[in-house]
Amino acid sequence: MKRVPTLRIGQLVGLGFSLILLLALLIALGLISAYAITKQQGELIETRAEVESLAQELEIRTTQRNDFLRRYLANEGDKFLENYYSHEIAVEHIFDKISALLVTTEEQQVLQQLTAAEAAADKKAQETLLLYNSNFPAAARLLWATEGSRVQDNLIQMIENLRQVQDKASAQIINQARRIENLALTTAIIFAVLALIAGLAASVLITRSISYPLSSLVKTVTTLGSDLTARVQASGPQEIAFLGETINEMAASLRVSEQTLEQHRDRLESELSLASQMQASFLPSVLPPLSGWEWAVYWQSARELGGDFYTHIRLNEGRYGLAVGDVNGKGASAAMAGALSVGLLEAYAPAHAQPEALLTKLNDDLYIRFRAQRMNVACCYLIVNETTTNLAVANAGLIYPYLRREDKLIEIPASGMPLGAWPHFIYTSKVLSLCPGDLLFLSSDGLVEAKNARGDMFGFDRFQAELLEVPANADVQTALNRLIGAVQTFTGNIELHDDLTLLVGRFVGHKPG
Amino acid sequence: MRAKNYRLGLLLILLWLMSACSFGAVPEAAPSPTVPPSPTPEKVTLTWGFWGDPWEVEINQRVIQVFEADYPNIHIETFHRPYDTYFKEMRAKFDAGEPVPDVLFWSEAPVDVPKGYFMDLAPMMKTENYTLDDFIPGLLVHFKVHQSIYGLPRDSDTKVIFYNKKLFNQAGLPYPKSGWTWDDLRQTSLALKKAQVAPYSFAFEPNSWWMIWMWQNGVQIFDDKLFPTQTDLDKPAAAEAVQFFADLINVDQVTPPYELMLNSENMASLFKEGKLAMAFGNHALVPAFAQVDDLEWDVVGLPQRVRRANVSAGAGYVIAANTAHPDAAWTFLKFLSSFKVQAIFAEAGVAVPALRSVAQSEVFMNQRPEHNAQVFLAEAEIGEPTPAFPGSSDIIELLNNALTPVWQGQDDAASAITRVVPQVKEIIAKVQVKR
Repeated sequence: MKRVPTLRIGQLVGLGFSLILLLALLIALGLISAYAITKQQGELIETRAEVESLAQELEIRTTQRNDFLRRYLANEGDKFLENYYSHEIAVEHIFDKISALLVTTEEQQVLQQLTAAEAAADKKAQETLLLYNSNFPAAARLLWATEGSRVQDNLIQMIENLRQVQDKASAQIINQARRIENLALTTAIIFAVLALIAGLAASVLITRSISYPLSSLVKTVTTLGSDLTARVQASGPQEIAFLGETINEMAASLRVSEQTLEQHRDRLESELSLASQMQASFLPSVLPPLSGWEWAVYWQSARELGGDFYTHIRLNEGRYGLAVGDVNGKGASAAMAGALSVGLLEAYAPAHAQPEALLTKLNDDLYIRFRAQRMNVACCYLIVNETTTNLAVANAGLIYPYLRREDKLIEIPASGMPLGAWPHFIYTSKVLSLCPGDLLFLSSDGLVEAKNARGDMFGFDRFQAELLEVPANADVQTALNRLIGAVQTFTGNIELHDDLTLLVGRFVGHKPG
Repeated sequence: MRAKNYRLGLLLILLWLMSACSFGAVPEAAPSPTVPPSPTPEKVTLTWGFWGDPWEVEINQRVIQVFEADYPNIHIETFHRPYDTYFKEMRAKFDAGEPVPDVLFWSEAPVDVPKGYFMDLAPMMKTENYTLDDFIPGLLVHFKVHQSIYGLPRDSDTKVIFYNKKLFNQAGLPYPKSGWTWDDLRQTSLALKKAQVAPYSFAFEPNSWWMIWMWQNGVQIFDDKLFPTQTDLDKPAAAEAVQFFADLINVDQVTPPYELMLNSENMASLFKEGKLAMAFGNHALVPAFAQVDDLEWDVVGLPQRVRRANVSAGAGYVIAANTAHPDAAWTFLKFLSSFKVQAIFAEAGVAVPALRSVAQSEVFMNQRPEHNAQVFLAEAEIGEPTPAFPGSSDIIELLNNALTPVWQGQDDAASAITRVVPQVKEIIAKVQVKR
């Protein structure tokens, strides 16, 4: 057994998947890092918001603090000084919080300015309180209203500066976040496109490397159905090439077999042709010119060899036997059975004056021969007389003969078991007196069982109708042609299902004397 | 092959992360601000020289407390002398090269600038961009010589007339109003005298301030107050002005005797006691008057004659040229001239502030007891500097001596002035030659 080569397709597919996975991993990493950075920026923005909130509180606290001191200096009560100091502590806490949140150089610079402004405000407040406590309340009020107000304004300005720096920083952060998001998105799209291109390229490569050779294989294998000399072009991945080589070997082997078979077939065809010719030669090409009778016959086998047969035998005393038979089955075996049956019939007929005697003899003889193969032969045998109008008919399983007399159709109810089917069967004959112009029809069942494309059978009804349609004065050949034409019209181009035999005879009447 | 792919993947991931990080520009932490170690300043002791009444001395002590709280590294000691002896002693020390206070209260600095007593402050002001915009311009004149500036004014020595509202009410007379004239002064004084509500209707300082009356009567006295070349003392208007006020003493007899008016403290006492209805004086009298509970008073500008005129002579602070601590002295001088200290002086009532912002503030305008403080400012705005040139004090003393008999009713003004004009001209000529 040949060893299957390494699976190169597996490597290709694996590599393609690895590449796509790698790209997907890169996209994921990019998105994750962008997310992480964006999240970090978000936290920074939150910090900015916190600073903004603190700056707002600082502005409120310092403004209130300023006002508390003003009211204290205006002698409105000591509680305002207490409030001033409580706000002072709150302001210090705010400064501590803000200091912990500011990180950039610019922020630190603003913080330094802010701290200096707060220190100046604090110093001015202390100076003012010293004046107040030194019994210069009006000077203290004036100082606080002017220079105190100035330091407070400066403080507010510094807070505003802080806000602006914060706003600027926030805007920068937001812009950075947007840039990163855009970059991540763009990169993700680029990588996705690359992944798609890589996937498509891999797909094309794999298709080219697998499908094309495979397609070529299929095409060649299809051709091999009709031409075993066709060969696969061994290309593509190793496993495909390997498959191709195997198919080529198989085709070569098949070709040898085919050639052997062709020889057998040719011989068989030759033999069959010979058998067919022989069978045809068994059947009388011309029916005997019987006085008072006109005959026409149609015979067609479904295959090269058929099971139908017809024959005529000259008996003594101006009598003639006519038979139409149909072996069950088709082909060579039926032909052989038919040949045997015809042979025996022709051999035994002269010794049997009555049709039923002949059929009984034949049945007994054929039963012994056909029993093993369970074969049998339907056969209708009739004897006509050149001098009388009598017609004797015995029937072994063939469909009833029909008699057309003027515009009437008479079914001749002669029946019996097919020959060889049942031992010792006793057949009976029907004897009819003919009138001149009577048309006699004997048919194998291939006629009524002829099928059209839909599977419908021609059937007895059509057969009988066609028999009635035959013009009363039509000659036998015309009548036969008409009936066969009707069957062929019905079946169309469908081949015959069964052998078909039709014998048409017209009793024209005996010449006097 | 597989290993190669793996390495390539790692490289790509690394590049990706690097590029992502570089775009992620997280604000970098600022280096913690490094504060250079500041050298511990050495403690400096300065001496502050000044004159003034006990109230002013007390105010100055409180100013020192405030300063030392603001500047813990500068200690201030004081050198106090009465006005009468202050300048003589200081000049003697300067001339003898003896130690003098680092920062001095001074007036008419230009007189002493040529002697090199004081430090020029202009360079420091320029360095620090120190602005003088808030000072009343007329007061700066007393400290400027050419492009140099030797001190900063503390106050305005603007003269006004204090009047006792109660006495006017008792006499049934309207209060004097801005824009009144010498004749209004004389008629009011006579009416007060007639009403007999007080022993004296009006009092003024005869020495030195005759120059105001001369200015009001259209006499310049000197063509240039710092660099005179001639005098118009020989104009009749000069004698007329002196004679008008001498007549108030001697003819109308509505004033205390000349001798009682030589000392401003005497006049203040008379006014406080309700013995004087109208007193010529400056803002320095306010604290004394404020101490008297039932004294109802207000102020009015000086009466005018040919034109309105007043004196803008004001005192201020200078730094001794030989100070050992010029920087500390400059710091202290700036402090004394600051808004804050000006407000202290204004609230204490010791002076009309030299800073407009303080003078126009409620601290000065709403002083207690209630009076029309605006008068001081209005008069300050029309103030004129006193002559301040080497020899100017000699001329003033010459005239003071010459006019004494006039105030005493023993001579007429025209004769007295005519006699000294040649000497005055001689002094001016000497000054010119010196220059």
